[in-house]
Amino acid sequence: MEKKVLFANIDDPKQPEIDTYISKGGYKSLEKVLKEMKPEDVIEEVKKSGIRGRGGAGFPAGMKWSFVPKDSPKPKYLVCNGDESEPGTCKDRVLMEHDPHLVVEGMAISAYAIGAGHAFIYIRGEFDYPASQMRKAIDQAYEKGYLGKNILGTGYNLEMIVHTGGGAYICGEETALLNSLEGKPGQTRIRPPFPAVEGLYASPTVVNNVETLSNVSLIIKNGGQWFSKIGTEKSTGTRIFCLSGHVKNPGNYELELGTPLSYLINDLGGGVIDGKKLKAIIPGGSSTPILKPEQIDTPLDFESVAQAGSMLGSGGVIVMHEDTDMVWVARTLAHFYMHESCGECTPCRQGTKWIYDTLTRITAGEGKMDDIDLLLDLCDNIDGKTICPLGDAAVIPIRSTIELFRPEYEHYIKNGKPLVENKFMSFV
Amino acid sequence: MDKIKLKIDGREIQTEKGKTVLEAALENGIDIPVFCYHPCLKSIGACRICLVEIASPRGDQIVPWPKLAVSCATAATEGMEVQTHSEKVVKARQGVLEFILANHPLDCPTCDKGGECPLQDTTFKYGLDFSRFEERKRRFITDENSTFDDLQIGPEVIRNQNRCIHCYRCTRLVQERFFEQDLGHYQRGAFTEILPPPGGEIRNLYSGNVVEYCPVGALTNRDWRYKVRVWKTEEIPTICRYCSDGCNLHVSVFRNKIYRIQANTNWSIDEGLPCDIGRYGYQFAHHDDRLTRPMIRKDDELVECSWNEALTVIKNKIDQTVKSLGSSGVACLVGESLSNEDYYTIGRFFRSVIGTNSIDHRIYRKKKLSFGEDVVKRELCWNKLDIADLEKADQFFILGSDLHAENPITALRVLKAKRFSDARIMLLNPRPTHLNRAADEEHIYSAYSEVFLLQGLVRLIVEKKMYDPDKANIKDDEAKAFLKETADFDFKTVSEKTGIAPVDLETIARSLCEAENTIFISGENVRIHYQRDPILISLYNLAKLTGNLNGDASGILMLGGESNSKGCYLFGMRPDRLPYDKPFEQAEELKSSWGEIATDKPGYDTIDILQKINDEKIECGFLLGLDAADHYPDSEYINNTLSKLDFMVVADLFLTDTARLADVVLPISSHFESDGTFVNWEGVLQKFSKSIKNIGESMPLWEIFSKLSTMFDADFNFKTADDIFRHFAPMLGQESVSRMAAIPKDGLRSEKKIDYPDLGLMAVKYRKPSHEDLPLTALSGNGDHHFSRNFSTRCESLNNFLADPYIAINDKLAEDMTISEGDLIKLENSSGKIVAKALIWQNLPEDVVFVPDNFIEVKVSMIRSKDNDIDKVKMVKM
Repeated sequence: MEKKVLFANIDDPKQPEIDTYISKGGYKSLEKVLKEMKPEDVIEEVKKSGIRGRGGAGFPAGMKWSFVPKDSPKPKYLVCNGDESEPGTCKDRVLMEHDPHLVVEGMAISAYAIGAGHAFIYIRGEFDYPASQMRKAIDQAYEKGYLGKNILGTGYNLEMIVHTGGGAYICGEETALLNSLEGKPGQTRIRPPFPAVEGLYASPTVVNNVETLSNVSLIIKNGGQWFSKIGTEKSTGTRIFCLSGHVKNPGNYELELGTPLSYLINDLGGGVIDGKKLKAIIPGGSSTPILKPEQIDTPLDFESVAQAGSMLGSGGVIVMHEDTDMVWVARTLAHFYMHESCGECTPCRQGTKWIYDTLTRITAGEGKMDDIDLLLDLCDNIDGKTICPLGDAAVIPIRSTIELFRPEYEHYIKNGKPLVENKFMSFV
Repeated sequence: MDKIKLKIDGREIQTEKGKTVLEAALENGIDIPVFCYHPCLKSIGACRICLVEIASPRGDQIVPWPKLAVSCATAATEGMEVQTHSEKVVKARQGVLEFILANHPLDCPTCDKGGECPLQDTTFKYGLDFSRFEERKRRFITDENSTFDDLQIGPEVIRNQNRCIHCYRCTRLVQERFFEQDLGHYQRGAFTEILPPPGGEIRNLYSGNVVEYCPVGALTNRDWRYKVRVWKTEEIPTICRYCSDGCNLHVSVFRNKIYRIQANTNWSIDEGLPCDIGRYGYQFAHHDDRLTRPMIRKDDELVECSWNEALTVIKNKIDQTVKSLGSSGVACLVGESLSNEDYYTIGRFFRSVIGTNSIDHRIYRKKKLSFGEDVVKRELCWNKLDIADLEKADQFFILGSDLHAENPITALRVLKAKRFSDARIMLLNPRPTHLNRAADEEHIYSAYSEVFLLQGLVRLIVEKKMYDPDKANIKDDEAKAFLKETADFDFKTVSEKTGIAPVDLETIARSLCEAENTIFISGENVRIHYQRDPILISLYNLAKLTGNLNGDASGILMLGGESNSKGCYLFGMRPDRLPYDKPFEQAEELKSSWGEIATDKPGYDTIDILQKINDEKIECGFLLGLDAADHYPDSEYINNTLSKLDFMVVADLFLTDTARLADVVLPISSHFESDGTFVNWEGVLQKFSKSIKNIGESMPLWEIFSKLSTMFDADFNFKTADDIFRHFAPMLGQESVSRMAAIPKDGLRSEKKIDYPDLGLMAVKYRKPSHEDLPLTALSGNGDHHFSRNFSTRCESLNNFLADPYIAINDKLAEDMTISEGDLIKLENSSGKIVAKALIWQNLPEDVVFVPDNFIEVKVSMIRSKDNDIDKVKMVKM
């Protein structure tokens, strides 16, 4: 069901002001943490909540924090990943724009938990307004003494820095983000070493998503126990789902995890537009496999979506109706991944372009039947053979559309034109 | 080192812990293809051609990894099982290769890399014979009218982006190892381009290496391309003739012409990364200016003659001189980049055939600067570390050395220590040097204040008791005595004299005391300093105080010099020592093979030789491989002196300023035209091989002096360089090496490492330098991409980096005098004047000008005077 936890105050236009935020009990969690809790207690509380990363991979946040070596002589860093670029996803942006202090407080608590003296928030270059909102919030927090030297008289120092990227999808990948933050080209690093051991400036670093860190304030405020009771047993808490595509009411909706997809699309989203039939659903951003209409009752939690053959990903739900040309969808997404491939490793750099070129040829009516198998084999040659998951992600829409909608490809190749004449997703 | 066991392709192999799977495989002869991997670079796992299938033990099971892993960046662990040829691996490898080739133009027939191309070779070995890629190949068009798409991105580097396979070896090399920023990648994905920064060029001192590192023909050499196919050339090993690092190189020869030079990796010296001077510096060998026939002065003009005629004249003149003045009327000065075989033969000729000990190579000095007793006692004449030891140091204290330009390969090791173990680099120089790009601290001290600086630091450490008394081995009374003796070197005075702020002096002192291992490096500025010995003693004091006197990664290095400066010492090119640095008292052994030699008194050194010429006590002078008229730091004096010689023989490759004054000019062969050996600053003896026939009638000096000796009925007549090597091999102290062919590939390294003796602190005195009362101090050194004189400036490629001399001045000074870059300015003092274009350096001190001394057109020796310790000048805008 819809449950507004992160979004509790999202509609209040005054919420970005620190006074409003404080008047509603804001920064109490930070105060509690700094004055009453040891860093280990904070990590324990977050572990208890069972929260899993909201960026896409769903890795348990508390566990990620505990990988930071305690005895390292190097400084530690917290990095908040605000490089939200996954097609279909727009949740972090809303949090940064409308409740920036929630993000700041979450970051400050998390930084304390891992022993960091510096927290960076890396915001994608195109997010001009969210970045300015964050800057403003951070300035206010400094003024009120929630950031800076000797916070609330506890002796804890924290500097918080906003860094805007150059506009690259790859910089949402944590190691590329760290390279970019260091001023290097946004290309990924090979792991190990993992960022928790050797991240920013070769020091222990935790990288968390905006939504994950925002949840941290609430977990401390209400207790890990409270959080773990929301959602399902293994997928705790709420998530913000970004509903887009052929629905009547697109937008961001915060749902308790485990809520059926149909509730999001039909009850909140108002169903498919123009009375058309539902054709396909991308459940978690463009890098997740497509679900068929008959899977609309899948509960939105990590396990159920995985069981349905897809991933919860970043929460970007894209709905497509019967007039959607799926080959065109594949080509559109192929262009995205080709354009965003950083160029570091061979399979992704060359493969994404090859796939796009081939799909372009097919959609131009010059395809050959062999092309379908070629595409699948290229996907196979990319999948699992790249440095970072961008390569794996790039092949998902291609494989998925071929698997589920192969006749559309065959029709295109045989007849030189799409099976479905209306092209709704032509943003290339 | 801990050993671990793992299985690769079912074979059990052992390797050291910490090695990667790839390294373990390659060491054991198991082949895994690579493109982006290079042993000198950090692995980034970009090309993915080295994917392997791995399973590793968990509990008592061997669990396969979920994905293939790149062997270049996966650490080998105990019990691991690796497959390099499983079905999955072969499919992935072919997939990667297909991807790499998809957009590669396959223009092998017109590609210069063809024949030595790792992509060609790997495709040959693993590739498919067809491609499924039917799309249009990606092209980076640089010229609409050409399909070649070549783009010159640096003076010597041409890029063809179409061929690039994005291994990033070039950019990683430049950034990781060279600490340069002049090559990077731009754009993204398949459209990633390798380029210098906007408006820039790749022109760092090591830029040629990117061509060698490129595994395809995306980066090629302007110098080499389209001239000859590589498989038609022969590769011959040689040693660089420029600085004293001693890089191993390969000469590519086709039909008796050198077409290029490449690295010939010696891991203990150059690591396969020579600088551009070594790489392009061969071009002088085929220069039109090369002397091809002997010349003799007739009617005040040099005319060509036969060897017989030239040698006969020399023989007669020597006889005549010996008759009138005795053998001491003959003297010889040699250059520092001749071979040991040359030195041996020259030494033997002058000492045993003529009977004179007046042989010297130290032409760069104004005044007598023989090592003092204190320096010798402290063994400060010898470097006790090897280049590879530099990697282990935690800190470098580089004083009075433009290390980057004087010893570029040693500088690379310093940078390596910085990159891989975060060593600190402290630069202390009278002018900014290019190593500052990687330095933690750079301090510019007032020119010629080294003694104040060093003794001040020593005193500061003693006074504030910053040192560890155990490590330093200093007793309290000794420290007290030292403080008393050096009362003039108090903190305030030192800061005033050196121009370094007190807080900086303290930081330097503190970091010297804190680091575990510091290496002190001094260079040319110290080598030619009028107070060289006090500086060395002060360095000794500093090293002792901070516990760095002896150790595997600490100590004192005196660098600078030329390719065989060390050979000059070892083979007796000094008036006071015999070959292999033997004193006259130990001449017996030598006499047994040389016959009678004069050992009653040492000969004259450079300063005395010049004096004796003026006194008409020396009438017959030999200048061998040395442009003395240009090298000696007093132009007027040396010209006057040399013209007083009754008979002067000059042997050189070119008609140098000195040769123009000669009575007989002998054309000598370059080191490409003879076998021979050099000794680098570490003391490693390395051999080079004859790669081309002698140019014209030129001969190597050893051959000339062998021939000359026979005219004196001497009992030696060497026919080959190896004949000579066999003569002096016993002196090298390594029995197994009796012939040149037996010299190991990595050179003959003498094993003995003697420690510096601990003789306590010794206070030194500052002597006020003599100088003219003029505002600016003239400093000189190597210009970018040049080394010494006459050779590098005769290489077209090096001139492409820097062709014209300049005078560097401070920006404020320029502003005050309304000088803008490129304006002609004149430096002037009572000795003379030089004129060159102005170059504005922002960080140059206001009272210093810098002039590169490589160019014959602008002779720094013109503004130098042997009577002044420091050369001061005034500047005039033209």
